[in-house]
Amino acid sequence: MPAEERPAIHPDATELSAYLDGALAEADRARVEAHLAGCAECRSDVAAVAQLLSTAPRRRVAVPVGLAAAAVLALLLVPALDLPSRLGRSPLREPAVTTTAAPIAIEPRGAVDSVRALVWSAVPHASRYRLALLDSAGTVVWRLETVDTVAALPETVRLRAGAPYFWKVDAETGFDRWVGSELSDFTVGVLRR
Amino acid sequence: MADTLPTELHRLLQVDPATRDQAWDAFVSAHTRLLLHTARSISRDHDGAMDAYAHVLEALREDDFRRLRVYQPMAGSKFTTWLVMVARRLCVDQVRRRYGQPRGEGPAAEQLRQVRTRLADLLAADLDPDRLSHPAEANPESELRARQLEHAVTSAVAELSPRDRLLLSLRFDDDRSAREIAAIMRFPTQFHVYRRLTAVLDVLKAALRRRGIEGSAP
Repeated sequence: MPAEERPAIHPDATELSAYLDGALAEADRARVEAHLAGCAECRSDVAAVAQLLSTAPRRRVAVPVGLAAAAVLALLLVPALDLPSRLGRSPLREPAVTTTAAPIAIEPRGAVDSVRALVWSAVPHASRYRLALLDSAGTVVWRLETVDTVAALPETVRLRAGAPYFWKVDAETGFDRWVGSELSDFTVGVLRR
Repeated sequence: MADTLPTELHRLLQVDPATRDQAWDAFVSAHTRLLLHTARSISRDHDGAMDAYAHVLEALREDDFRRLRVYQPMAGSKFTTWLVMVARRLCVDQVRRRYGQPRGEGPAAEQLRQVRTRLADLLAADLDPDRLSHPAEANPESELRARQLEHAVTSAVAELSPRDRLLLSLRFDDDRSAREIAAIMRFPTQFHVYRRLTAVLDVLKAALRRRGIEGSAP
């Protein structure tokens, strides 16, 4: 049966999307959750849409035509005015970083046998990095500040096998300006029987 | 997140048929990135994604925008969430018509049995591992115990609230990460997911003990 024509026992798109947006009344929410608990297909829908929304591209902001035209005119005229010098900027200065990429946690991620070091990607012009390692209760088990993009886990930090841990890295890109990675999780040496 | 139609949708559904093309262009322009993003999630190759995208647009426009007219704004809900849900279902249907039902959707009963076995194994972690059923050492007593445990787990899970049952389904049926579960069920953080999961497992263990499933003694 086509996904968009499921029988009435399945919540429709309006109800499932309202559930994801947290817009359902308590009783309706409980009913939808009871259905989702037993319906793999609807759960798959809901999970996929949640993932799509969290990774959706940002909507472009329309620039009024008049403003765009003024910007083009300024770009055409400005070189003649030697604007950078008038603003006191040296022609030898590096171009400003207008968009800052966040550091990306490289390893450990997911299920791993052991953890000796935490590794992340470098951020251009970052002066230092601040790392935090947390347990599943949100307690910080280790902090570090470093100029490197690798941090060896000290022996004093004992990780419990099978327990989830989280970590993130913030990069300092300017005076009191930080850009942070997403929270990554890993589990060391899952218990086997 | 108002309970009114988005402007571009309102114009599309209300406008004079003579100027409907312009209104449709405006609607597509407003949502094309989201629809393309959805199409790409179903089909990784470029041609497949463009096919799916074109199919969604055609389906949304079909029968004087029949599918879009169904949308009912609700306070607190977003049109874009609904649109992604509808678009994704259209893409999935297109793929299924073309390639058939995806593999892995076996009989529901067998899947349910496997899930209960996994959950039962987790809950039995406090039991003496030496006494747990092992395929090489299977005997009537240990098999009976395993069935009793599975039955007890199923009964105990049925007593949980819908929200807690959904949490277990997402974690054990679907193997979703804490981050995914937090996004679906609107937990504030992943930590809240783990805390609730731990609490639910404690409730289940207590329920098993009440049912006489305690330690390794029969």
